[in-house]
Amino acid sequence: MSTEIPEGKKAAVKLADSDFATDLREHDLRSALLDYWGRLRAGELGALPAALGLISLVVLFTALKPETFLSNTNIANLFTQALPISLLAMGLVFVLLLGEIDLSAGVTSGVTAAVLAKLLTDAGYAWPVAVLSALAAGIVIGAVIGWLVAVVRIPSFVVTLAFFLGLQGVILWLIGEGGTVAVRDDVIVALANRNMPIWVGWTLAIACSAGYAGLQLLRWRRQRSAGLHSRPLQLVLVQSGAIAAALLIGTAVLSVDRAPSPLAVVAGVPWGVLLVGVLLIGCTFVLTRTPFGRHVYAVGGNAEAARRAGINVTRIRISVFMIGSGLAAVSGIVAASRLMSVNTAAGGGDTLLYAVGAAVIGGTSLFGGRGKARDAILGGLVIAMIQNGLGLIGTSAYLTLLITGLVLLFAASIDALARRRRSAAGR
Amino acid sequence: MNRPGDHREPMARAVGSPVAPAGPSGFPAPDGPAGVSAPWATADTLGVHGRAGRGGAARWEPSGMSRTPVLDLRGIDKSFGSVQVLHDVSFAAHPGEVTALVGDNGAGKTTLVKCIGGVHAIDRGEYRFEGRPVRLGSPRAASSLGIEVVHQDLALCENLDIVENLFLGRERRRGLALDEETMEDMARRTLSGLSVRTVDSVRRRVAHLSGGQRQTVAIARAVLWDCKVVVLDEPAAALGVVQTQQVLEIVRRLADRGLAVVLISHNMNDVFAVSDRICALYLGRTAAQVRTADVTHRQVVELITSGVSGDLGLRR
Amino acid sequence: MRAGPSQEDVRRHNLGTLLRFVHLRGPASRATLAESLGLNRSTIMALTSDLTAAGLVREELPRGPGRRAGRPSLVVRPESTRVYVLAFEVAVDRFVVARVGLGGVILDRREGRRARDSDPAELLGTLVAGARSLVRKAERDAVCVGAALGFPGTVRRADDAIMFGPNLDVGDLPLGDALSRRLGLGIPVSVCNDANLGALAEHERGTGVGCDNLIYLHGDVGVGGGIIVGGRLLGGDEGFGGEVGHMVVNPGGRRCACGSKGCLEAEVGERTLLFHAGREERPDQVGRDAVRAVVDAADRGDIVAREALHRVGTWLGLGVANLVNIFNPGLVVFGGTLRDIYLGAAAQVRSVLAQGALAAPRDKVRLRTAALGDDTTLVGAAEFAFAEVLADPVQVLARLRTPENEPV
Repeated sequence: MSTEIPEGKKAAVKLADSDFATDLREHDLRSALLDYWGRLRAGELGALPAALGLISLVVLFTALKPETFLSNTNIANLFTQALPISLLAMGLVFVLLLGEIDLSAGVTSGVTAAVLAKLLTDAGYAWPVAVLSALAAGIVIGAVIGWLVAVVRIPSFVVTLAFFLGLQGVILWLIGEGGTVAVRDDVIVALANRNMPIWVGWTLAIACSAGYAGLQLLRWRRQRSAGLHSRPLQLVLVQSGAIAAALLIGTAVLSVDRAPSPLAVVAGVPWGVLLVGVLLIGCTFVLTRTPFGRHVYAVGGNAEAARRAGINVTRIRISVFMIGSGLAAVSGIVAASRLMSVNTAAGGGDTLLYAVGAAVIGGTSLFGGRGKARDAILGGLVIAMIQNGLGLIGTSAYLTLLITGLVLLFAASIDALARRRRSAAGR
Repeated sequence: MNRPGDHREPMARAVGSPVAPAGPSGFPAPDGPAGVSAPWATADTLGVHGRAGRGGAARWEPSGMSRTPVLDLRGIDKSFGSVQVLHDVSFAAHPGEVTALVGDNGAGKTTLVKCIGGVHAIDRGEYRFEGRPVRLGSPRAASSLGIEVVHQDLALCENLDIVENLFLGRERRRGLALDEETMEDMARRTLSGLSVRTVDSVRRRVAHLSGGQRQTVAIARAVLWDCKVVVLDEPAAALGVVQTQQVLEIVRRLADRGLAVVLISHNMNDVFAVSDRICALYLGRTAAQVRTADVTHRQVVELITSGVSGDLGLRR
Repeated sequence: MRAGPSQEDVRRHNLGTLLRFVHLRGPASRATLAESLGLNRSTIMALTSDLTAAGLVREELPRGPGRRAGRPSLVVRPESTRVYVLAFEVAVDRFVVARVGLGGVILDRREGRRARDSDPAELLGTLVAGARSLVRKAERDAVCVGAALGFPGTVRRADDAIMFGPNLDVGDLPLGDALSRRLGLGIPVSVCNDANLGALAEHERGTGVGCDNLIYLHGDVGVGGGIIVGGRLLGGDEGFGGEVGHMVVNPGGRRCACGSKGCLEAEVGERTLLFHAGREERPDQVGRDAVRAVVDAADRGDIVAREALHRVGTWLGLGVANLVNIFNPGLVVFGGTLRDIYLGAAAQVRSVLAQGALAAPRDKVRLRTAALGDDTTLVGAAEFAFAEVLADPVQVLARLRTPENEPV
């Protein structure tokens, strides 16, 4: 990039004022596309790799398993499979944004699931008590990790590795070796296994689509009337339309009876999807529209600059680990609901790696400072789809692991390459 | 830029009251073809405007040299352990002026700047801000007085855009959420005020900016909040010619807006191009603080390298 | 001879004053206008409605944040896209044509390079083509209210005749008349000296706002000057004034294109700098790029380039010292290539100034670079072209709008 705007682009430049040609220029769809292309070339890939991955996986598995992969049952399955991964990944996005890592997020979700199960089944508490306790357990774990990282200044890799080992012990101690605690509370079980009534699903889908479009249009109008940088109206409409279409088609597919036997009716959007949706909106709001979110990005981008700007970096670090572990707790609850039990292996093994993979595939950078809450959902879907599709094809377990590993490596290398591209473009 | 009060028109009071229209007084009458403006006569409009320019423009006038310095340090001593870095240093910065701080490596420029910015406490001496003696315990204290230091490493978040960087840590909010509209508008105004002409969008990420543009953003961040003194540590180091020009022009503009600017530079051309005063340090002492218009290049170089030049400089 | 100004004169004057205010200072609320112009609000309202009817300004609600309680004062904005002028800048090896809207907004521009020895007739053709394409792209109801051209040479005020262009020979071509005729817009094209226009531009919109005594020095291949004294451009008897480039600073020095020896232009011009830097034989870099390359090299420590800037800086400082002694300006502005040269040789320029100028006038003089960058001449031409409409807004517009029905 040259420092001077090329001569040809100086049109519509106000002399008494300053340039900001791009801001002042009337944007149309074409210029927006050109801008997007420019950003892509500069290494700001955003959600593109994940979206392309999703599309190619759908095409691939549909071609290989035409009759089962796109069946209504399987699509519903896919969503519930993606739920725990996405939730865990959403928490990790916060941690990754700081350039830190939480290796213990998986087992944290296991511990919270165990707490939940023990309180519900063994102690017989009502579900709100159990859920709140599980969440509190997660947040406390996060606070301790955050304190160790931010105040004691142990690298997060080491702290969370220690927690990864230690918390597995806690799970064993809570559940007892080799044991399983069943979860039978109706409300908890319903979370991942029951569907909302069809009319509720439709109402929510329509309300969300309209709400999204309304907010975007409102924002567009405000920016425009204030003479600020705004996206072209067509783009706002296309985006809102795409979101609405995705929501409505998804609802339509999930609203068709997918019960295997003609005697029962299984239809509607799983309640867990609603939970993820609400958390996604919440996290996106926090990250993009609040000072706290801005500070998270700042600390991830340049902690020293953030400190000099008067941001309490320690506080941000601790709260980010708390959020990460809190969302891990939610993920643990959903996982317990899905399996209707908690065993000693809960949250162990590959759970965490899938979640990190989901975040990275979604577009969150491992180097900090870049990522969005929605990355977790997109990446979670990709991971779930790989597992689901390979399961349908009937590949052996070793191949599934191998392929998932390769996909993760691929995503991480895209991240690294894009980063190099960015620094080259930024000079 | 809008500068209310800058444009007073003494001629026009009310339509009803007969006042003389500004004729081409003292200037040749239009002598072009009838009905067509004679180009030269139109230069008379300059006269109308020119007279108008005088009223209420005090803020934009170059500061009178007699004005009291906003920042006035006298007899500053500073040592680290047994090493005395600053001996009886005096330094003043005046509003509306660029004061260049020059000196060889190790002459104490950085230490002096850190004392000004509140990073180091001074051992002995008087630190006056706007005429009042103050004691600074921290950079935050300096900042709250209106003294901002732009360090060489700039400290910008590359993953954030210009607006986000400008308001980092001091975000405007509307309820719970950020007030992006106000921030964007203020950012653009601030940059316009600095006549930044090379940034095509305030929503561009800092990672995509050139060195000169980053310097501009760092300076803009310092002056976004009503500050009175800006200290710029080698702002043009490692910049190309065109970018150096842009930064120097911004430095000048800051002073023209009434700020006291302290510029640290090794480059004599940059110093002479924008500064109004030069303060030369030599081995931790003030060799001289002089008006730029009164000295020559050679004198300043002598002051830097030997502390003395003719009748200027340290007495031995 | 009239006894005194009529109502109509006063109204015309006030209209012009108001329009000039929003033209130079940007959109302003009625309240600001009333306060700044010293007129009451109802007068402002009457004036703005006249200007709005003429299509020169429009009024709208203030936009953007910072809305306060109560009824907001309407903001008066110049109709930038509907009222425009054509500004031409002809330099030795480049030219620019721009459509500049009321309020000083450069709406659109065409620029090109020209070979130093190319035919003036060809130049005329290119300028006309560029201007026509700009006019075509204007909005349908937009009206062109003036045109002016900045030229690097001495121009006679009375008939816009180019008397002397040492670096750009157009022969006895009446550039303004020819342009005006071939454009066919029914407006004359004024021709002015480029540095005079630059002085005007910097005075009205650049670094010289609020300074009534300034000297603008413009570097292209040669050196031009514009001197503003008491807020007026110094034209001299016939408009040739301000040619500081041909002030002799070094008797018996380098030969100048004007025939003399040791003119400021001959000692600090582009060719001289490149000659001293040993770079005159590089056809790939000419004009501003070549000058910047020298400054860049000096910045990186190239001894030859440094020496060249040092020598040029000495003569430039001497020239400025003379000007400071004679005119006692508040401000000396360096534009064109002199902007680069000054920033590269500031230490030397100031040193010579410190030694060569009298202490009293030197005391307060400020040396500045042009705030309008490379567009000083262009902006000056636009301001010049706007002068007529600003002097009598409604009349001029009415006259220009009438023949609009004719096919173009």
